[in-house]
Amino acid sequence: MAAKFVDYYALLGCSPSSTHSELKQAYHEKIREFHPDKRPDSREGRGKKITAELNEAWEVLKDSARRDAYDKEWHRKAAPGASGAPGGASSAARDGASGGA
Amino acid sequence: MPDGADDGKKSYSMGIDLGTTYSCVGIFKDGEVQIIANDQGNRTTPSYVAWTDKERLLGDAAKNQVASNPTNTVFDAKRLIGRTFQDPIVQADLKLWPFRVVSDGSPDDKPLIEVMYQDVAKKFHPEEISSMILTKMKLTAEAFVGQRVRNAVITVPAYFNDSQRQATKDAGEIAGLNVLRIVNEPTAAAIAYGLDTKSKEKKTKSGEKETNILVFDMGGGTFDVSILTITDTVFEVKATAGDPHLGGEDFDNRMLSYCISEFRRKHKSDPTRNQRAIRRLRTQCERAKRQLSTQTSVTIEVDSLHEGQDFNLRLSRAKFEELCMDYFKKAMEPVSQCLGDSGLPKSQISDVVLVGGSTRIPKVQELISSFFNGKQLCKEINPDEAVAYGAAVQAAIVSGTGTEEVENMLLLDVAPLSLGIEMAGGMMQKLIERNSTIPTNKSQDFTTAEDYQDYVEIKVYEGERAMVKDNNYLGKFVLTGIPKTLRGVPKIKVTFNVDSNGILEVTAEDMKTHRKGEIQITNEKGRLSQRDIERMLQDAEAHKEEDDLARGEMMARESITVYMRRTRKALEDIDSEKILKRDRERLEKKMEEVDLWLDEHSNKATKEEFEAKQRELESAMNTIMLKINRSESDFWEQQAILPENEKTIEQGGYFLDSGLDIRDLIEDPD
Repeated sequence: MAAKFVDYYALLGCSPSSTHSELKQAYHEKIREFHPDKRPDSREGRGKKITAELNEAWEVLKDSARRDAYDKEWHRKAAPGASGAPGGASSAARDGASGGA
Repeated sequence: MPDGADDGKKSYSMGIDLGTTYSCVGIFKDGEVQIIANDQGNRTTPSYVAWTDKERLLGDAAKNQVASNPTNTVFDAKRLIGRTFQDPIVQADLKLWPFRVVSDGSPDDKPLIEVMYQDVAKKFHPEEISSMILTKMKLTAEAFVGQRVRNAVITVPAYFNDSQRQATKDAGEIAGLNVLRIVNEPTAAAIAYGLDTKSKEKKTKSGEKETNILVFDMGGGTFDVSILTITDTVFEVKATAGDPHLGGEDFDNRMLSYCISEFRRKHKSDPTRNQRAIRRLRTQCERAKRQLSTQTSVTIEVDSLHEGQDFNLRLSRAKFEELCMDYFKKAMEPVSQCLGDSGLPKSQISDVVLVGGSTRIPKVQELISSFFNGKQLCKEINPDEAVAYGAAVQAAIVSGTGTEEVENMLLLDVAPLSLGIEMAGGMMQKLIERNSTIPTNKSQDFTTAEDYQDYVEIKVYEGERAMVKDNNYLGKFVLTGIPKTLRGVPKIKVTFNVDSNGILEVTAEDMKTHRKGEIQITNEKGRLSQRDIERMLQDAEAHKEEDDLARGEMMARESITVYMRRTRKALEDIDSEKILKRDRERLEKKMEEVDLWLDEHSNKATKEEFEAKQRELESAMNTIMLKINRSESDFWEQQAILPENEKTIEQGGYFLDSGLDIRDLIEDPD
C-alpha cells in the first residue's frame, strides 16, 4: 500500500534541521518556479507534476506531528548512509537547475 | 502568444464572476482592473436569459420583462448546473420557478429547461443557459476594449463539486471561450482584498508578514467560507467550507411564502398558480429585502396582484430576521467547520472579509461579528465586484498580461471535498483529503477481493462520510484483463489527479499487464459529452446571427438617437436670422413626432423601421439646411471623422459611424 518514499527535504532543497519558516520559504520559492500558473506553455506538463509533489511535501512537513513521523522514516531511508534511494528529489533538483521553460 | 496577437495588438484576458442572480466582468488593462459596465450602464448584469416572440434577450433586458413573460424567462441556471433532475435540491427549486424544467430521459437524468420560442418548444441544458450569460459578459468586455476577447477565468463557489466545476467549464467552451482557469469565488475575493490592503500598507510598513483572513461570501444562491494565509504575494487557502445552495434567493423565497400566506388570509384566494402575480410579488420581496438592510421597516405593495386585489404589507426588519433566522444560523456552521479545519484559533484571524450582496444584511453581520467575539468586520472591498476583480487579476497572472506586482502573485487553492473510491463493503477509501492544496496527485495500490477475478470496477465518490452511499457518486470505470489469480495477488494502482481548476481525473493501472483504464466521469453523471458540447457550440453560433440582428436594431436605434441629438444641437446653434421661424417650428414638430414614435416603438421596431424613421428626419432636415446659406455637406462633414485609430462598432470598436463614442451614450453623457 505504501507509496514510494520521497525525500521531501531534498525536493525543497532543505534538511531535517531546517526550521518551519525556512521550509515554508523554500516551498514558496519552489512552487513559484513550477506552478502551472507560472508556466503557461506547459500547463499540464512537468510543472504540474512537481507542484503536486511540492504540495505533498509541504502538507506533511508543515504539520509538526506528521513531520516528526516523517523525520524518523527519513533517517532510516534517506539520510546519508541509509540504504533507501531518494525518490522524486533528483528530478526536481535538475529541473530547478534548468530554470523556467 | 495565442489569440489576438496576429494583428500585433495586445490580447486581453477577462475575469467573469458567473453568479446565480448577477454576473460581473473585469479586465486587467493599463495596469489596473476595470470592472466593466454593460450596455445599460450597470456594473453587474442579471444572470437572466429570455425568449420573446421575436428574439432572445440577455441580462437586464431579460430581467426587465420577466413579469410579462415569466415562463420563457430563465434564471438560476447555476442552481441546476452539474446536478441531476432527481436531485432533491432541483426538485425543491422546481416548485418555485415559473419556467419549466424536465428530465432528458436518459440514464444520466440531466435536467433540461424548456421554453417556447416562436411557437416551438426549445430545450436547453443549464450549461447552455450559463454559456449565454457568459456570452453577454464577453460582449460587454469586448465593447470596452474594442477587440475580441476569448481568454477567460470563470469563478465558481469554492464548495462546488467536481460535476459543477466541469459543467461550468463546459459552459465556457459552449460560449466559445478559452477557459484559462476555474477559480474559487472566495479566493478571488481574497485577491481583491490583498491588493487593496497591500496598496494601503505600502505607505506604512514593509517586509514580509503573514496574515490570516476569513472570507465570508454569501451571494444570491451560494455560500462559501474560506480561510487564507497571505504571505507577501502568496495567497494560500488553508480550508474552505460552505453550502452550494444558500443565499439571498432563499431569503426572497421565505418572504414570498409569508406574503402569499398573508394574501390568502386577507383575501381568501390563492395566487400561487398565477405566475405573473408570483413574479411581481417576488420582485417586490427582493426589493424590500434590500431596503431592510438600511431601514427598519418597509411596505411591500403590489397593485391588483391577483383577482383584482391589491397587496399591501408592512414588514419590519425584525420580522424578516425571524423568517430567515434558521438560514442565518445555518451559515455559521461552515464558519466553525472551516476554522476547525484550518487549525487556527479565532484570535489568529486578523480580518473577516465580507463578499456577496447578502452580507449587507445587518443580522448576518451581527452573527459573524459575535462569532468572532465582537470583531470589527472588513467591508472595505465592494461586495458585488470583488470576485470579478480577483478573477481579472488571476486572468492576468495566468496569461502573463499583468504588471510585475500582479504577476508576482501566486494563488494556492484547495480541493473542497475528499475524493475516494468504493471498497468492498461499501466503505469509502479516501485518496485525497479535503483541503488538500491543488494541483495534487495521489496513488494507492488496490487488489482483488475474489479468487480468479479478472476485472475490477472502480467507483469514484466525493464527500466526507464513511460509507459511499452517503457521499456523492461521480462515476465509475472498469479495468479488465487482469490475469486470473488468487484474490489479493493482483496489484492495481489507482491515481487521482486534481488539477488547478479543482477538476478530478482518475486512472487505474494493472501493475502486471500495465493495462490502463481512465475514468470517463465526463459521460457518467451530470456531465455533457464532448459531442454535446460541440453541438451546443454550433447552436450558439447559430444564435449569434439572431443576436447580430438584435445588435443591428440596437445600433439603428442608437443611430437615430444620435441624429436627433445632433439635429437639436444644430437647431440651437443656427442663427435665428438664417432659419425661418416656420421651418424651425416644422422641424421641431417633426422631432417631437419622432420622439413619440421612439417612445412607443423603440423596443419592437426593426432595423429597417429605425432607418426609415431616420431617413424621414434627415430629409426634413436637409430641405431646411439647403435653404439656409450653408451647404448640407459642410454641416454634416464632421460626422465622418472618427477619432484616430478607432474602429466603428461594426469593426468591433465602440464608435458609431457618426464618430460618436457609444460609451458616451451608455454612461451618463453629462
